[in-house]
Amino acid sequence: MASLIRSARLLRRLHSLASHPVSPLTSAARTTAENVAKWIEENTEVSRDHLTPELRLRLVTQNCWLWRARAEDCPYPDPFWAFYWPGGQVLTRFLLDNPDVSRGKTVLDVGSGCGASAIAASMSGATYAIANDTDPIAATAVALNARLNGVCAATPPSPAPPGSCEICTASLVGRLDARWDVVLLGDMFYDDGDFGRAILDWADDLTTRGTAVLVGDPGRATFRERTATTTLRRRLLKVAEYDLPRRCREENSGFTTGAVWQFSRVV
Amino acid sequence: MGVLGPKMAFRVLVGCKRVIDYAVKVRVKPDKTGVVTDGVKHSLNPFDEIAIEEAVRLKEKKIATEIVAVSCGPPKCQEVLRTALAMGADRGIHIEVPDEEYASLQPIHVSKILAKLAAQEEASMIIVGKQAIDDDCNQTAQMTAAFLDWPQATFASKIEKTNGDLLVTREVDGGLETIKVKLPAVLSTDLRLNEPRYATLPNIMKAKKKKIDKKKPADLGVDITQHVEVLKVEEPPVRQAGVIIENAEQLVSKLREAGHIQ
Repeated sequence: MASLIRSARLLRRLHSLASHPVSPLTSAARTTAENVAKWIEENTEVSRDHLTPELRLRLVTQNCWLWRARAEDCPYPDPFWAFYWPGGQVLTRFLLDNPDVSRGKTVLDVGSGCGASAIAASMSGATYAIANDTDPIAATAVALNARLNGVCAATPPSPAPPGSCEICTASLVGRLDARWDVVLLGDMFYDDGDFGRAILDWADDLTTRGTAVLVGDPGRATFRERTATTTLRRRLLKVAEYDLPRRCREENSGFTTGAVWQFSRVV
Repeated sequence: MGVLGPKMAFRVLVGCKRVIDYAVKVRVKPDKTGVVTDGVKHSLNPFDEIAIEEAVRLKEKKIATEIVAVSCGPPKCQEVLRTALAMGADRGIHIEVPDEEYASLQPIHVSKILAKLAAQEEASMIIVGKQAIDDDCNQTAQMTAAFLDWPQATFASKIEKTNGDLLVTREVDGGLETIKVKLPAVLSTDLRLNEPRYATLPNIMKAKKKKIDKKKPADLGVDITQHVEVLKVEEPPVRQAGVIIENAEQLVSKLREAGHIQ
């Protein structure tokens, strides 16, 4: 099934190359992105059944065939963007409840998935919100979700006007940019290897430079273990805790609550 | 470790055996040394699935803080660990036992491994299925409790937590027996304990991000030397064809012919 879809896409892409001789690359890229968008629209459902019902998000819900499918039945590998992760839900709830966190700021949402946190930052008055996910399919999902919520989505090279949600697929972990006022890490502490360590070191560097770093996490063992040292525990301030709604608990067996943590500067 | 305060970690270790799927018609190898496993669908032992489900429910009730799924065997065991992680276990431990040695791995070895891991992980509870549907041994929970000198509550059909103790309802021949055990303890699950949840795509996907540690029996100081030698494995006798009897007279004459009545 996956290979069939892939070859169908390839065929369509070849056709579009043949019929648009003027600017084949741009048109092919657009067609592909359009196909991805169409696929997302056909295989997901607009849902408000989560912790932030203010947001309409295209997700794979219980009404979608993919819900009961095997991972390998999905034509796109690891569609993490198709689900609203518990850490992301609590972080987004926090942003909507505390608009001052994003108002007038540049907010970077790392591992943005469906883009909920970045979209919430835009809706709360962020000057710039950047949804960053290395999965190009996620980029399309974020664009769809932004539009669903009346937020303008900007994909490079087109410039991002103030108030828009900029979509970025570069790997930003470890990079520093004076532009970022707030960095959001929703459910990024699932890895106990090098990536988890890199995220933590990065959060450290960002905090030292005055960037506010917010973490959303449902109590993953990896996050607890990683932050178990006294120095880190002293630097992590729990700013909010929410009960996860029923649907979210069903999607995340074993998790019932989620907390938002803020890194504080070394004292 | 006796009294578990609210802030203490309550880690549950769950045994997860990869077995031939319950729906598969099992075939004996022509040389009678075992059953055919190549190209046969395998899955998580159904009783272990019940064990994982119970651990997840304990976590949802905020009694357990972490669930560690353990499986011993060849690399394919990671598939059943992924199932356990998708059902809600927090992390997995794969005890690597190569195919050649796995054939002779017995509950006594698995019990020693679980006991060592329980000590290493400072577990508060071990839950395993009462038996695996392949060898039907029904030994792992009991021997693990013995190695650890922990109380055991086998064939559990209901588990409740009261202060530092567990109230466990057990399915015994005469009916239901309720016992109180102190923690830490070893439990084994009976069929009616719960109905395991289905691992849906969102859970399966998120399980990919959970970690599985690999260890060898030797890392835990466990010797897996073979103690039991399998002499032969045979298919159960094939059922003989029956006959349809028209009336009572015919039945009586048939029974008389066969010498069952005079």
